[in-house]
Amino acid sequence: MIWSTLGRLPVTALSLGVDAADRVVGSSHGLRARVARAAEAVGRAAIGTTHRSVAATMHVLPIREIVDALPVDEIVAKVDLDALLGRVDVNAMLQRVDVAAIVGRIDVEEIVARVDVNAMLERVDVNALVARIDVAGVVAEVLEELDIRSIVRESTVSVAGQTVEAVRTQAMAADEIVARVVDRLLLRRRGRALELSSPPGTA
Amino acid sequence: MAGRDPAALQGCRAGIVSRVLAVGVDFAVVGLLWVGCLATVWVVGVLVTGDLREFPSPEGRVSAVGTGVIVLAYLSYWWATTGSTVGGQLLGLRVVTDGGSRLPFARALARAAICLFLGPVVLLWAAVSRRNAGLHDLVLRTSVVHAWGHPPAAPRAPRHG
Repeated sequence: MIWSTLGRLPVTALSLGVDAADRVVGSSHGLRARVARAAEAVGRAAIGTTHRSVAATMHVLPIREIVDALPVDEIVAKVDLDALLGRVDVNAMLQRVDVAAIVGRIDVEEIVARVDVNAMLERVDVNALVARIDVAGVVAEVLEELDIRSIVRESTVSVAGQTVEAVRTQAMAADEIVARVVDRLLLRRRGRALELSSPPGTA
Repeated sequence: MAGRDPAALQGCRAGIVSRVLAVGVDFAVVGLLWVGCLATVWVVGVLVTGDLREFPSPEGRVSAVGTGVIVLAYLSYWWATTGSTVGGQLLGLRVVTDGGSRLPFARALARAAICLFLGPVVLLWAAVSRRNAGLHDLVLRTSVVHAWGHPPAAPRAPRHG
């Protein structure tokens, strides 16, 4: 009991001293400023000492063991990836990417040269492919697009019209030849009066 | 076979060759119409009697009257309406008066009658006529003109006085 009380004496004395100093410091404004400057000087000295000693300490500390001891999984589990990704500006990232430069570095010809087209084609089941195609439907669609009926109709009308016009033209020429021959046989000097007194449809 | 420009001959009187070709087509059309009439008579007879009788082959006199009626109706109708029969349309010909107007029905009927009773002989005069006119054209003062794509002849002008 006595020993324990004696053992606490230094601590008690220190706390009493601190309280007393605090009262003294608190009572004098000039003294408080001095204490602050002194504390600042002590701090700067302590930091300088710490800086110098950190490098030395790093060699001494067992960094790898400390890292191994860290609960990395728990830390990672606490990370909110969605919130993290939400803060990432993907558009800005993509704008920084030079796609043309990336594509320019790709040797397409070399890639194509590596492709074995024959091997690819051998793996294709052409019969199954053709069996899946609705040939009748495709043909009907093509015929509908082409409108064969109108083409045949137009070409037929065109050919018929040209034929009729050719017959009329030839008949006209034959008319002139016959008229010329007859007029020559009849010793006519004047040509024929083929024009009406007024054109058809105007009278 | 060089000749005048066909476009320049539109509205001018047609020659003998064009007209003979048109008459030939009309002759074939009249023949088809006659066969059609006989076929109609045959079908009606089969439907009425129920017997599959032979296709009718009328006597010469009946055939002459039948085809004569068809020729009169066929020619007068087309000449009085469009001015062109089937043969005329194929050859691009139109029958008009010498003044260029559409034929009245009576004149079209008279023209058809002359063609029917005097036959193609009247048409041959067009080969020697200075106006490419057949005998029926001279009698009835009509003309046959080239009319490809021309509008139908105007209705007959009203008579004054």
